[in-house]
Amino acid sequence: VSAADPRHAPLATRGREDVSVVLVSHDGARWLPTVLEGLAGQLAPVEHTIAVDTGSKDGSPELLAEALGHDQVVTVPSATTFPAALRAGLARLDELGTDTEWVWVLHDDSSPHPEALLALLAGAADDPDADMLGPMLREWPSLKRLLELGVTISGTGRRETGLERGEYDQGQYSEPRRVLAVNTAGMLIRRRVLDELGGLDDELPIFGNDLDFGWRAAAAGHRTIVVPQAVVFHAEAAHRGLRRTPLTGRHTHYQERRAALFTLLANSRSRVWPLHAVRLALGTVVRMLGFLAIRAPGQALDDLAAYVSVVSHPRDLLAARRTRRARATADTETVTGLLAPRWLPYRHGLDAVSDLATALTQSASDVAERRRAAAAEHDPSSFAARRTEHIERLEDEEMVEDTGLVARFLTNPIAVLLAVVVLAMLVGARSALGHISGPGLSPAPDHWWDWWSLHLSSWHELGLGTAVPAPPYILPLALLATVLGASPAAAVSAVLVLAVPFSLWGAWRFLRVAGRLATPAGANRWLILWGATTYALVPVVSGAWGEGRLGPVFSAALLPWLAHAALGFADPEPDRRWRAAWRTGLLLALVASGTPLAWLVAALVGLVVVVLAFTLLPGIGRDRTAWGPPLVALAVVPVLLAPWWLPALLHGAGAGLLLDGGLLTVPTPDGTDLALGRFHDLGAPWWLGVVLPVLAAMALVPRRTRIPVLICWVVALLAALAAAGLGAVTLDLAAVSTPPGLGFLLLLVQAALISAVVLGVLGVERPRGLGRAALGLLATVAVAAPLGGLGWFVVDGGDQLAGGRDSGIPAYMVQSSQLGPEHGILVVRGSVADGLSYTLRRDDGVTTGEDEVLDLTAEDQDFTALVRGLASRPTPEEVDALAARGIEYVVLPAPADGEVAAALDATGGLVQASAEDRRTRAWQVDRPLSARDLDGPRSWLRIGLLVLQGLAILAVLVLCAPSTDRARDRSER
Amino acid sequence: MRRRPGADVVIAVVLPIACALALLLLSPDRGQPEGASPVETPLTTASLVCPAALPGTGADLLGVSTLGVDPGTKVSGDVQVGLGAEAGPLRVRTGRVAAAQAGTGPVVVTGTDEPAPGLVAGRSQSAPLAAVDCAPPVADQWFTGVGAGATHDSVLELVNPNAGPAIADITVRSPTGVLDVPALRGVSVPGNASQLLDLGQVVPRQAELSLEVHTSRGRLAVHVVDSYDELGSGTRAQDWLPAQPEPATSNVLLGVAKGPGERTLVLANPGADEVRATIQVVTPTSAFAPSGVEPIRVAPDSTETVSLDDVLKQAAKDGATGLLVESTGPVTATLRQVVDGDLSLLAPAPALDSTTAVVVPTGTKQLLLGGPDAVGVATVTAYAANGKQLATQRVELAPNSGADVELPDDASLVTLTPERTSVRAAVLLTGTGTAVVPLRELVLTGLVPDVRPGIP
Repeated sequence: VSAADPRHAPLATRGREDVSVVLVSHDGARWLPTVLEGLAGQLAPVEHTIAVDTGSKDGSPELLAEALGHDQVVTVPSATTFPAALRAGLARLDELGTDTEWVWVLHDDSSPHPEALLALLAGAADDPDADMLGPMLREWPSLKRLLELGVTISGTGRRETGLERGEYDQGQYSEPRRVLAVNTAGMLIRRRVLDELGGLDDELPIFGNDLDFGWRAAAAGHRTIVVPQAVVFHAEAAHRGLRRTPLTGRHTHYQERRAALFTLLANSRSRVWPLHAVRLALGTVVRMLGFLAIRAPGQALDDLAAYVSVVSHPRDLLAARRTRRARATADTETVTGLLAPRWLPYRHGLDAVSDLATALTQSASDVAERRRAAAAEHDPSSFAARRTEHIERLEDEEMVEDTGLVARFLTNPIAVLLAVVVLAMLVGARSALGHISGPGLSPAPDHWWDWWSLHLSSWHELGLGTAVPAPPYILPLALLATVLGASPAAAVSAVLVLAVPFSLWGAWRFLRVAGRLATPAGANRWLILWGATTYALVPVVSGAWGEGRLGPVFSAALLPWLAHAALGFADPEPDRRWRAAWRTGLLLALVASGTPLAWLVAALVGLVVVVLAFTLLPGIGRDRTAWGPPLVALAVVPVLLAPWWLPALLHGAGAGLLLDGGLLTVPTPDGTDLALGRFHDLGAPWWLGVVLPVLAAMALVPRRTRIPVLICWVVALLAALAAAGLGAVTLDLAAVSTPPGLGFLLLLVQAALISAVVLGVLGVERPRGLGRAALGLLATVAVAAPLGGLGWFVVDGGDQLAGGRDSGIPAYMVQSSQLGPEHGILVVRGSVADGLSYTLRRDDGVTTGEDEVLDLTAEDQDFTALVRGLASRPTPEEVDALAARGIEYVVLPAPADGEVAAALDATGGLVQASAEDRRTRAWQVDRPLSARDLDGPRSWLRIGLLVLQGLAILAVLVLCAPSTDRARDRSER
Repeated sequence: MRRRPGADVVIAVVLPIACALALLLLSPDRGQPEGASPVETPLTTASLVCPAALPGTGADLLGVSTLGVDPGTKVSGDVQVGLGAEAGPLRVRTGRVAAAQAGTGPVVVTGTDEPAPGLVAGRSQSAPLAAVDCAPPVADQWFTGVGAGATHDSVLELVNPNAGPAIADITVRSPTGVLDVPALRGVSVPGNASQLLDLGQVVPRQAELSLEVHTSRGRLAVHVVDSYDELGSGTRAQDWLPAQPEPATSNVLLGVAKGPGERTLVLANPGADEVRATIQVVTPTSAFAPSGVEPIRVAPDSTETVSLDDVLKQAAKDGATGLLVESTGPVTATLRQVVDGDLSLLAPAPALDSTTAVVVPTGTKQLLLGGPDAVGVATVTAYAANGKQLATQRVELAPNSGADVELPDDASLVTLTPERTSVRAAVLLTGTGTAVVPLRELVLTGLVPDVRPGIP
């Protein structure tokens, strides 16, 4: 204590320094001995100490009585609020006839530093206008961390301390300063001020009453300062939930929030405070969303309940406002200056986002690393621990000087090569730009809402009207189209153009982690580049990309990400395993939306893994966090895809659950095709595909990595078995017969073979002599496969994708058909001799997603009979039936069958219509058109399922987001 | 001592093999449902079109009858006779010929349900004798040997029996090739109306022409009236020129009249290659190549005319009934004969496999059979207009032979049932002139196509 210390000022210049202490306790036996010791050790004299015990069930009353004497302890019921308890203490002081200038309030979990009171009094002496003084609160038991140095409240009701989270006291705060309020723990207040303001408000039983009191005091013209030299250690027992009282209940958050809202609304001096209440309502919604997003639904509900509790008692609020207004004397600006700045809530929002981003980046540190770290922690003498240490040391040493980005890029051959590969992929994908269609792809609709309405409606006015649900991949496409400037064509182009680089990225991530799981050193980046490029080209060289088959392309892009997420099941931390479960579930649902067989195969692989796990690790059944996540991942998929899954089964379109997304018919691969990675006769030259299976078989040779390579082969075998089983099935749809879509199995077999090769190479010992030459040869051959594929892609990968498809239907009819669903066009192809087939074109023709709906719709026998009648002996009645079915034109595209055409020419009610091509024949139905027969019932089941899907997507997104530090902090408390 | 291989080695060998075996099992069925053939069902509606009466004197007779779907059972019912709104009902019965009073214009005979299968009608005129079979509208027809000049002129009559408009495209071939005649391209005929095209005005030319009539829109019945002015005689002979359904490499033209006269064979080659045609004379017992007749060369897309006056003079006397024209490529043919001052036109008769019938006027007539492709029998029955069966005769048929069946003068309906062979037939009418009516296959059934939903 220096000579300049105000405490050394002459007594005469100082005001009254007589102090009474009121200590409020409730079940504080844990802390009381220390608190009482601290109180006893105060350097400044204390006139009287009164303890108020609010019905403690532990030994608190006895401890207090022992230390202070029975007379000094007031015992009140446990339901007594903090304000009431304080009043009881003051009453006892009055009874004892004590009339001190100051009252020092302490909690049973706040232990004052011996100099605390002295410093507070000195502060008061320094600033004679101060009526209320607060100490620096530091964390107990750490004693170092700063908790509060005066508090204020933000516009959203947040308690603001102005400190960083976990900030240490390093003497950075030394000057007393004016604040809005100080915590009641350690608050030194003039008795008359306390009485004048009516004490603490009973509306705020335990939390937040200090803020309200401070605000009231400030409004009444009193001055509150915080004295950093006075230190009180505070356990914040009630706030942290360490102590439960009948007043806090289980919902401390509710109480805190309620107090904050009440304080804001009761003390706001603004005339438009009801608007403030509305703003707080919106804020509550935002806060709730935030809490839901970090998986804290309890707190979200607390927030809501707090708001409802405050606004549902407007009388209490108005009464509180009246009393406050009556006492307010200070000008508004002074008080406003003590409140938190307006921008502070936004700053906190930004902090929350950056927290999430940090968590996302941290979650990128892979499973292999964490397993190793966990192993090292478990057994510090292990090999893993030594290696980790070694790597850390190496990384420290490798801190190279910070060169420019361009220089680093150019001096890194991998980066350059990667860039070249991605560039080549983008060049190869050039034909996917624009409004495209292909043998496997219908053109995209014109408007962004078309996909939404296709997804959301339970009845489609397509063909003759159908209740078959839209394929599931329409939802992600609709989202993408909405994001990409409301352009479905852009969404299709984006999927096709970006799918290949995106799967390259995913494969890179997966192979890197898989390599590290297999061997400590992991795969080198050349090898990863080879594997990732080869995988990324699978959908291209297979021919799926070139035909515009969105389903398999979409799945191929996401499969490595799915596999990467599934590796999370092996994470040492249970929380991460659960995150991995939801993430895997979401990705699996996305993959299954393009290639529905993915779910079936995943279930098969999961089953095998579970059987193996239970056989090899007998204790695993007891650990819910081991087998639960994979189960959750599988169960999530049917829930997310329910609006498609269930209605499809109900409306006889169950075959769709086995078909890949895209136009039928699919060139189904046979066994050889599957091994070579080709969709039958599509794609790059087949002999390029020979390399992979051969190398994968050779990958079994190295002993070191034989087990992981065998795992890859098991996956390939499962896929092959599934393919063999499913390939024997024929799905008879209304118009076509087709085997199930084997696109996903093809991808999986190829992915498994690539992984096998990458892992197998890791097991190769450093070769010498001939072996070295042989390996060099193999490497050359291996490189030839992706290089050849990439070259083929760049030269003529997408030549089947075209701008528009000529339907052979005159343009004016197409225009007319867009007027409404009743302006349908019946298109009849073929000849009488070889059979006729009919299709119906409505609106803007069959667009992406609609073809599956039409394909899976059962044949309308009545309508087929109608067409048969028209083609053989048309009658006017049949023409009437056409009009009733919403058909405006009948078209026989070139070459039209003469007999049918002549018969239709001769039919009353059909007026010949012109067509550019003379061999195309067309008629207009000269009858009033009606769309009545097209309409169908709304399905409440599907609406319910859509709602379920929406909620499930949100829930899964929340559940698969990484845990932030905040959330973890909370869970640790 | 050899070490046993470890489990991992065994699995490493087994797995790829198992994989390969599983893949070998995969051979998906990529077959697609094929369109099936159409199904034949009894005709429920049939239309025949009779051309307008010839502008000459003499009784105009329009007879209608029906065979029914099964020749064994008798059917009766009303058919509509007339063009468009003028149509009126006419009761027809199997085996009888109902005479229609329908004016001189073109007449459409429409039968629905029972009378529709095997509906048959014929129009004839007595002086000079002319007769035509009323045929259903067909999409493509060939007319060979039409004229567009002063002495030989043809008038094309297009009749649209239906409500919607119809369009015909007519290709004209001349000895020098296809003529570009804009007036004959896209000839539009409104519903329930007819249109006459006088070739002499549309494409005036002194040459033997051939027409290929293609109906591109709707349905049209096409008839050609050929008029021939034998040089110097001053009289104009007229008759209907029968249509040929399609070009063929073997054409049998039946109906050579007895006696001398002018006989001209016109061939047309619609193909792109030159065709060489040979001629044989058909008699009831044989077919022989007449001496002194060179093979005829017909240039692509053109017509060729050969005078057979001399060749057939003796043969007709000896009982020749027709000509067999065999060619290296499909051709169409017509034999125009002017005997005793009357014109009659012979077009290739189609091969008949099943029971058929023809309505003919009373008078002297004979049924000429020819061109059987196997040994078989044909039964010919003649009925009077009132349904009375006048005569029936079984005729043995063998390749390279034919028959010449005399028919009763009162016969109005002639039925022919070939068995075990197909045969070609024509009725040769004689009296106040000559007329030839080839028999055609009757339409008993309609084709109902196989219809299924297509790939959207």
